[in-house]
This record gives sequence, C-alpha cells and structure tokens, in this order.
Amino acid sequence: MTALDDRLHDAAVAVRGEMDDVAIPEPASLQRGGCPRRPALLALVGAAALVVVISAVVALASRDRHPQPHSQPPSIAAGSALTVADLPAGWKAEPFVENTRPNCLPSFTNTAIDQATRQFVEPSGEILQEIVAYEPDVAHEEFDLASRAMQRCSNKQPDLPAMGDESAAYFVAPVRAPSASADDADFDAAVALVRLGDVRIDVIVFRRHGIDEHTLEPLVRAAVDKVVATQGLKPCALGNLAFDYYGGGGATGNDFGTIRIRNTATLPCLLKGSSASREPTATAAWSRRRSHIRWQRHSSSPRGRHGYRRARNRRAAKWSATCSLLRRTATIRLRPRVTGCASRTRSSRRRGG
Amino acid sequence: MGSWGSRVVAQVGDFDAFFRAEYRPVTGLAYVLCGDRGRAEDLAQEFAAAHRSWSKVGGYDDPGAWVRRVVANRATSLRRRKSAEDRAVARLQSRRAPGDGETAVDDAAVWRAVRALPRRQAQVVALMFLEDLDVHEVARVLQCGEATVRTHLHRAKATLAQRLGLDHEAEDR
Repeated sequence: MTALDDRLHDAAVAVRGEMDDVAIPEPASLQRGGCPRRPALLALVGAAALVVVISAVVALASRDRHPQPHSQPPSIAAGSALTVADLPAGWKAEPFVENTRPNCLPSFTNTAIDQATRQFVEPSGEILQEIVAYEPDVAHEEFDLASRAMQRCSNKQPDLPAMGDESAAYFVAPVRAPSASADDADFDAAVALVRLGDVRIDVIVFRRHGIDEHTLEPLVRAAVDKVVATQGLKPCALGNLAFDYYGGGGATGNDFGTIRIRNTATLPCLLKGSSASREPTATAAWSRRRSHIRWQRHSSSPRGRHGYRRARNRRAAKWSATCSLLRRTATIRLRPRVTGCASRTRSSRRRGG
Repeated sequence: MGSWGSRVVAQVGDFDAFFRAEYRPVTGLAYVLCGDRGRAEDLAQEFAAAHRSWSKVGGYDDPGAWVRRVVANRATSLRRRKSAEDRAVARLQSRRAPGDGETAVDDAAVWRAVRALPRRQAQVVALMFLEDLDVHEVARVLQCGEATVRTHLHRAKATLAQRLGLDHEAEDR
C-alpha cells in the first residue's frame, strides 16, 4: 500500500458514502429507456417546438395580408340547414348594428362597378368577393357619394372598407328589377357585408324569390360570383355549402376571424338564421338596411342637396337684404351729427354771433 | 460484484434484485468517471437497456460487468462530448463554496485527476478502487487481458502520483 493507494481508497470511501444517499428508483421507471439521451431529446423537442412557434407566428402574420383557407372547416351537423348557430364553438353572433362610420358606406354606380370590384381585390390578387350591386335607375349622385366614400375607406382598409373596429359594418347595395317600381321596397337584390361578432361573413348575395337572374343587368349578372342565399327558397343544404376558415382572433394580428361561405350548388339557396334569438340573417340585414337606404337616398339626392343649397342661398340672400336694410337704418340712426358747427354757425348767424 | 464488492448473482427473471443491488455502485462508477452526480444518475439509467434485453443480459455470467462496461464507456464518451461544458462548469464550481454537490476537496481532486487520465486508465482505477475489484474482474468487465489491466493501472498510478504529489513505489496488485 502506498500513499496513493490510501488516497484512492479514501476517495472511494467518500464516493460510496455519497452514493448511499442516492435513492434507488423503481425498476418500473426504467421502461421509458435511456435517460442519457434525454437532454438531447429534450433539446430536439424544444427546437422543434420553437420552429413550430416561429412558423405559426410567421404564418399568422402573413395570413393577415394573404389569407389562406384553413384545412379544417367548422363542423356542422349533417343534414341541417346552415344557421349562424352553426358557427364554431367560441364564436359569437351579434345582432346587426348600424354602421357608425357613415363615411365608409360603400355603394356603387353604374360606372364605378369595375373600380369597386378592384377595391375588393386583396393585395394577394385573390378576389375577396365580386361586387354585384347595381341599380340603373336610382339617382347616380347617391352612389357617387357613397362610392367616393368607399374609396376613401378603401385607402385605409383596402381589403375591408366598411369594417370598423367597433361598429358592425355591413352594407346593402340595392339592385332593382326592370319591372319594379321606383319604390325602395321593390329592390330585389342586395349585397350584404356581414360581421357577426368575431365572425366575418364577407359577402352574402341574396335575391327575392321570383326574380329571375336574367332580369338583372348583364353587367351585374357578370359581376355576380356566387349567389349564396336567396329569399323564399330552400335553406342551403349543408352539402352544398363550403366554408373557408381564415383564422383570426386575439394576438394573431387579425382582429377579425373570417369564415367565407361558398355555395357550391348550381341553384341559390337561403342562408337561414333564427330571428327569435336575434341572430342576424341575410334577410334581416336586408330588411333593416332598406330603411337606411331610403333615408340615404333622400338625404343625399341631388334635389335635396340642391334644394338645401337654394334654401340656404335664399336664407342667406334674405338675411343679407335684412342686414343691408338694418345697416342702412343703423347708418341713418348712427350718422354722426357733424353739422353742429354749421348749426351753431347758422344759429349764431341768426343770433348775429 | 455489486453492492460495493459483494457479488450478487442475478438470475434471469430477477431483474429487480439485480437492479437494487447494482444501482448505487454503477451510479458511483459513473459519478467518478463523469464527475457529475446528476449525469451519473442519468447514465445509471443504462439499466433500462439491461431491462429491455434482460432475457439476454440476464443470461450472462455476470450481468453487472456488462452494465459497468456500458456505463463506463458511456461515461467517458459523455465526458469527451461535454468537455467544453465541463470546463465551464468547472469554472463555476471553482467559485462555489466547497461541499455543495461535490465530494470533499481532496477527494474531488483525486477523482478529477483520475478523470484526467486516459479513458482506459481512468476506468481501471475507478473499477479497481471504487468497486474494489481485482485485476481479473476488471479485465472481465473491460473485456481485455489482465496484463493490459496491469499496464493501465501502472501507468495510471504513475501519472496520479506525479499529479497529486504522492508516493508510488509498491507493486501493483
């Protein structure tokens, strides 16, 4: 035995004593296998998770600009008519609210359809939805105003001009059949941009029952991409509807989740909703919106505007004449008495002073 | 072999007894060869390999030798791979108060010197002094000749004596 051996034995005894404190695991815990590979495995898993998170963030950021359909559309009970109640869990449906951004109420003129259509083409080139609204006989000035307003909105939000953060924005642009009267109630078709809480159903096109598609103006008919729902017809069958889910929600860079509904059938159908639960439907949007359209037409008609101007001018002219008279009167009353000297002069002359 | 020198004859189908008897010695072997207790316990999980192949390993003459050989090889391999990490850890440990998770300073210095030896020399020293094995048993664990073990031991002791400044005159066992 040398000093080195003693030292090694002492060191061995110390290690044995330290190992006595080591708890012996249950043999059953060895089923999982090689623990020395655990750090590397964890590192791999962590790296993979990091890559997935980064990819998800990048995908969400790009989805905001270039939405891509989700691979898993919402599931709806087979055989049932589509209602807003069929929206995915966690998505809410809210009653329609009037657009609180009147400057962003889009509508379209005869000559602005192409332009309006382009306004709804997303930066990626994907057409959000064709614009179908067109009414040949309605005063064009109304739509000119609305179209210009839409252009202003589009400059700010090119993909969704009428969508505000707080207001549930939607619009209805009327289409009138040639046989219809001039009454607003005879509008026969409309386009609705609908927001249901967090859900945005981009464009729902619906027509009144009995209106032949061929009665629409050719330009309108060419612009109609899909008639999703039609009043008075059968509810949309589940098998004929396709959903494209574009995500959205908190922390995704997209405040609006988007569900794009496509009618894959050859015939239009009715997108049903429950009015009892105050859940909006396309028809409800139409009915409510109609009064707004009527108001908008009257308030923005050229006759109204010009009449107001004429009245304003008349009032201004009348007020101007009154003021002129008053000014003249005041001038008479307030004319300074600068003749006193002369009067005195005259009186002094009378007095002989 | 096992239980720090008391041999346990493991039979096929008696893995639990084998595991309980050999876990601490094997962990200690891994500890002195890799220098990290947590890593040593991870290395000791090589018992899982024995567990998975117990129908084969349990049939060996000495399953404990097989586990020790695997653990010793893995410990030295791990130490080589983690050399940079070990240097960083050593720098951190040099700032620690003595006794936190390490053996006493002198013992730690001895085992650090052992770990600094060439792989086979370190394994021979660890098996011989920690496991209290003779040359024949060490040769069986490492699957090499007894003369080779004696050579490794002689060279290891010479190096350790020089590095630790201790006397090394007696004959090897």
